[in-house]
Amino acid sequence: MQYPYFPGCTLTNKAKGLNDMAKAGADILGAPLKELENWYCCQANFSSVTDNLMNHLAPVRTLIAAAKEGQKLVVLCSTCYYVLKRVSAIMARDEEKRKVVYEFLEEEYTKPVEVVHFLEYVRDEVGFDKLKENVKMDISVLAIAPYYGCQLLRPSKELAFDDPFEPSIFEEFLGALGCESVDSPFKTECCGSFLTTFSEKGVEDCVDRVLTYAGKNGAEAVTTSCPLCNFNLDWAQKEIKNKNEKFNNMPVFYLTELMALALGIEVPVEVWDEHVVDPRPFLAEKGIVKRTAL
Amino acid sequence: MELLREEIQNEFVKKIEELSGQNVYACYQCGKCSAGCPLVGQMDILPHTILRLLQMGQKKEALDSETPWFCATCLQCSVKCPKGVDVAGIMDALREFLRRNGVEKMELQKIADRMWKKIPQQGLVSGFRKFSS
Ligand code: SF4
Ligand code: SF4
Repeated sequence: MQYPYFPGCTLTNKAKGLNDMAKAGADILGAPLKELENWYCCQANFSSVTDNLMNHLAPVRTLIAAAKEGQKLVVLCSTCYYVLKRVSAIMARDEEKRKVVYEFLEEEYTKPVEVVHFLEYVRDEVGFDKLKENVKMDISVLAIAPYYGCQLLRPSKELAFDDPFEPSIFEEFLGALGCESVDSPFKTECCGSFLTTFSEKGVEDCVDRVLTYAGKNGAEAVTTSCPLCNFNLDWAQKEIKNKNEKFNNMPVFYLTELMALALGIEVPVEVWDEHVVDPRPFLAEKGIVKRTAL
Repeated sequence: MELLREEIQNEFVKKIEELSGQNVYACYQCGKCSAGCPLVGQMDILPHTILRLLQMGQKKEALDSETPWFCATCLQCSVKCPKGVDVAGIMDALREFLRRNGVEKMELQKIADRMWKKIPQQGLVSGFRKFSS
């Protein structure tokens, strides 16, 4: 079954590693991601104030477009997933708001579309068993801590993605890819999110906690499905290291980059160049990419 | 002394309740929200104390606090609150109230100088949404 795919703004611009590697992987798995024809920015924030529906309009437009192409909409970026899923929940439960939005858009939200994350898509439409069968490269030497962050899990009743306190889908995905998945205590805690534009100190504090404890548990790198988490975890390390030389820098991978490595897809230089902490020396040391290929 | 809701629930508190869709009096001050908040290190007043200030109608104290600006909308508090109070929604309502009164916290030059080439689009857009009016 093919469903439309929503990449979102960041994935078509600064997070090509996330987007391009997802598409390449999905092709190999026989579940190609077909981009939704008309999509709009998710607005990057779910607006919780009750008296302003403006910020919900673009997501509603996307949901209406998606409903024309399938029963589900596949989303990869955690923020887009969070916003689209929360807006679709409001539209489903609040008739009054639905009416106001309809009067403005002159297009009706009638058919609900199920917003699913890429991880759910691979698990339910491909199967983690089949993912495992397609693995071409042994990456068992990589000890990776999955980082869920906030927007896949909370509010848990509305998103219903996984257990909000002990999620496991990311671990199952990494297990299928064949790498060692390392549990860490702050995997569902915040990276500092949009505070990156306001308080780098606040972000550094969050990132330090997440990465230090992942490291203490044996992780050599972490992985995310969110460009903003990825950026914060990656970017803040320089300043953390400046302040504390005992801090160990570690690469931050998109989940789809690890999938690409395991499936034997050649990861282009531009994708590695997007990183702040360059993962290539680490991958070379592990024998995953050849030094000559760098 | 008798404390009446009508006396302490002023227009400001009503507005915050309306914007957030929350009842601030549902909070019984257990402090769970503050205990699980990853940003308390940056805040000048703990999240549950902000709730208490609102319950007592203390507009100036609540609005002068830096706490709402340091809230990352991570929703840890909201999922952990035993009384079902969406604390993150209240923080958002406080920010919204301040923004509608012209308060601006986005310092674009600082971002431009440091991280312009790398910051993802969603970081900038959500930054504008949260910090600029
Ligand atoms: S967790 Fe809920 S009840 Fe407890 S102090 Fe915070 S808002 Fe109040
Ligand atoms: S949503 Fe805000 S107040 Fe609540 S735990 Fe997260 S940062 Fe703290």
